[in-house]
Amino acid sequence: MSNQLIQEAPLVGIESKLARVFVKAPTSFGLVERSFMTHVTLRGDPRSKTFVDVVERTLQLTLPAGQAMTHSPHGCSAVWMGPDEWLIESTEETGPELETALRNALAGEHHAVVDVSSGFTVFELTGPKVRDVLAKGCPLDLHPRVFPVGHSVQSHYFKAGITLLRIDEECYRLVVRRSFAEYCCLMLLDAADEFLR
Amino acid sequence: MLQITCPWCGLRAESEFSYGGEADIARPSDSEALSDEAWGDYLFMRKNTKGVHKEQWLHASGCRRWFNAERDTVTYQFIRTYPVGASGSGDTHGAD
Ligand SMILES: [Zn+2]
Repeated sequence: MSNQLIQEAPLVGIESKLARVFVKAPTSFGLVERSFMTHVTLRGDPRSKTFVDVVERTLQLTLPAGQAMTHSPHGCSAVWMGPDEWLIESTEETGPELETALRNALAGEHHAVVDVSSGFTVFELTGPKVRDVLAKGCPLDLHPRVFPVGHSVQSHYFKAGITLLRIDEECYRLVVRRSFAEYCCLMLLDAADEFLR
Repeated sequence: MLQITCPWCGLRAESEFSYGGEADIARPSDSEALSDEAWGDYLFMRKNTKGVHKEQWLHASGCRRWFNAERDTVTYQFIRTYPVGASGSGDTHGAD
């Protein structure tokens, strides 16, 4: 028996279906999986100055107070998930590193911090038709006036719970539970079908 | 689609929410001393209001927080929504 564990991206198995949208500069709609990103759930009381100060110093960012995301200078982001909950994303540090750093820094302060990286995957959705594709299964108002760049919300795409982040004018990032990844991806492909002909 | 105002996320589609039954039902403090009838009343008996009803809702696909709402059961109009424990809650559940 092998002692080596190999991480497998959630979308393994449907690559052939993904070929149509797996493009760098899409003319209508593009989808790229950003697998193995670090995700850490952080909970605590934002009214506690100590909690906020310690987190902000450790992560080098400002904790968002409403439906938005903030960034540190080194590839770490904080996404608002609720009045006392944030999702910390990172492309640099690993989940256990980030979890330990936060836990040590917050020792003695009322908080919860859990590495949930293995539970999620991220789709990066791009192209001029990205809003049309999202609107087919998501009840959110995606108009730029109410959903500006930097905005982050949780909602659903058809039956899958999602966290939707607007990264750029035509670029959204969708955080989805690993077990819903294939379903969510196939629904996105189906919704995008008319734009890919 | 009906739209509901989450106290934390603002106006969102009904499909993001789930209903949690009547609001402001306090758990009896000394449940051992309660008669079966009183316990059954606490567990199962609910108002069947025609008109303004206080109820619990969960923003299930959103911030995943519970909150209270006043809704007219005749028109389905949400009169207001507010965090649990904010003004409007705390009424005891009568025997009616
Ligand atoms: Zn909410």
